[in-house]
Amino acid sequence: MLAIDFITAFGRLLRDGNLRDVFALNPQHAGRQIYLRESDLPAWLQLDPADVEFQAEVLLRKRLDLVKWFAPETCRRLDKKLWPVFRQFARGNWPPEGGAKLSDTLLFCQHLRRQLPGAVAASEWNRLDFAHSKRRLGLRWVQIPTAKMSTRRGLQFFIRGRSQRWWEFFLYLGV
Amino acid sequence: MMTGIGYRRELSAWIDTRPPGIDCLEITAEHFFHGGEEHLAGLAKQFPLFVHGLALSLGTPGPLDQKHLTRFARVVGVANPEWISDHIAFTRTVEADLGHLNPVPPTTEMLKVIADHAREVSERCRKPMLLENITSHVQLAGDIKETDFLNRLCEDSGCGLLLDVTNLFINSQNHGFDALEWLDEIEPRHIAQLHIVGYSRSGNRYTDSHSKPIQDELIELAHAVVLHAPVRAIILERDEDFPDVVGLEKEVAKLKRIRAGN
Repeated sequence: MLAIDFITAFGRLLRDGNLRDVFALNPQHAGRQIYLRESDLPAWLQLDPADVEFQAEVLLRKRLDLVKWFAPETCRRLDKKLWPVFRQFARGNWPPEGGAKLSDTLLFCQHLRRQLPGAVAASEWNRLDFAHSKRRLGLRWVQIPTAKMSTRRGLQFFIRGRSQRWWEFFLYLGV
Repeated sequence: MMTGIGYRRELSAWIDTRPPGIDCLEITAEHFFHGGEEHLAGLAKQFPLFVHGLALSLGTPGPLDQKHLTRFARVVGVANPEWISDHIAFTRTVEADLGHLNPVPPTTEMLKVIADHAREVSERCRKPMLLENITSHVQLAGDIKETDFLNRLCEDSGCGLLLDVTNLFINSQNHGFDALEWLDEIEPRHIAQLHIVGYSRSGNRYTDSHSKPIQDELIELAHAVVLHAPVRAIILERDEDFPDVVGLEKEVAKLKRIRAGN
């Protein structure tokens, strides 16, 4: 196994809550567990676990800002539960590189559908699911939120073009 | 010395009125990666621009992300700024994108990584580059004192320093050092530009939410920087909770107070 440099190791510590738990108990063991380069061990051992946790939460809150952008209604429904639920999910899950914002939101909503059924807004789930797929067309029945804070039944319709760009339309039913 | 503001979409209507005190704009390169070049070209005709980056990740060992650098250089080509800037930080590792700025250790090894990357960006964009100090809740140990690291980094890379006064203040509070003593150790000729915005507090931690009005202690510190160094531009860096026009004018008036020292 190749030894890793300080920045790679520090990055792992910031994105992996389980590694931070090990680090808080035994920093030397955490460093050896990830094959930290021997010459970087002194700097590693000087890291303060509480400060590292705080910095890691700064990164989690930045992630949550993006999730709020992609799934605002779902986040609004969670209200005060949003941060603890997201923190619990995100502390041990880091989104894969590339398209990270979307896949992070999708994975969070999948987590919510298992843990808190009903928390995920159907129209947002449909949008995330279509955006993450390669399908050309999508059609779903949904209760669509209106400007008057009520809902109307309708069709949510997705089309993907050849450039992979996609569009979304709502078709309201009835009056 | 010019005063200006970080360009944000929410501020565009106000900026279009050419408000007094806004001599220049700083645009964020990444905000124009997926369009808006015509709008950017229009801004460049109205204001002197500076191009600021968030995610070149100069502190990541190994090659720069060439796709990101190409996009950055294209924005610079459209904006034609007097200078460009990014942070003394890393936002990604070879394994993952962390999505935000993280501190680097002040070591001889890191000095070379950032200096080499900054030179590459500057040469690719054919513009002088400034490097910005960040705020961090983690203090990293290294074989060089932080202020010596910054002075040597400017000398080795040929870059100037974009001194974020708010970040300096926050770090001095969170890590318990004297901001003025820190400033005295920075070679004045390196400091070319300032960033400033109000800080926030969360318990006993100071944070940089970029959402608060500039506090008096920041104005005092910024004035000390202006007396210490030949600063060429001060940029208000507000990202959230934008005030109304009256509030914005008050914030811009504070930039003038920094110059005047009252």
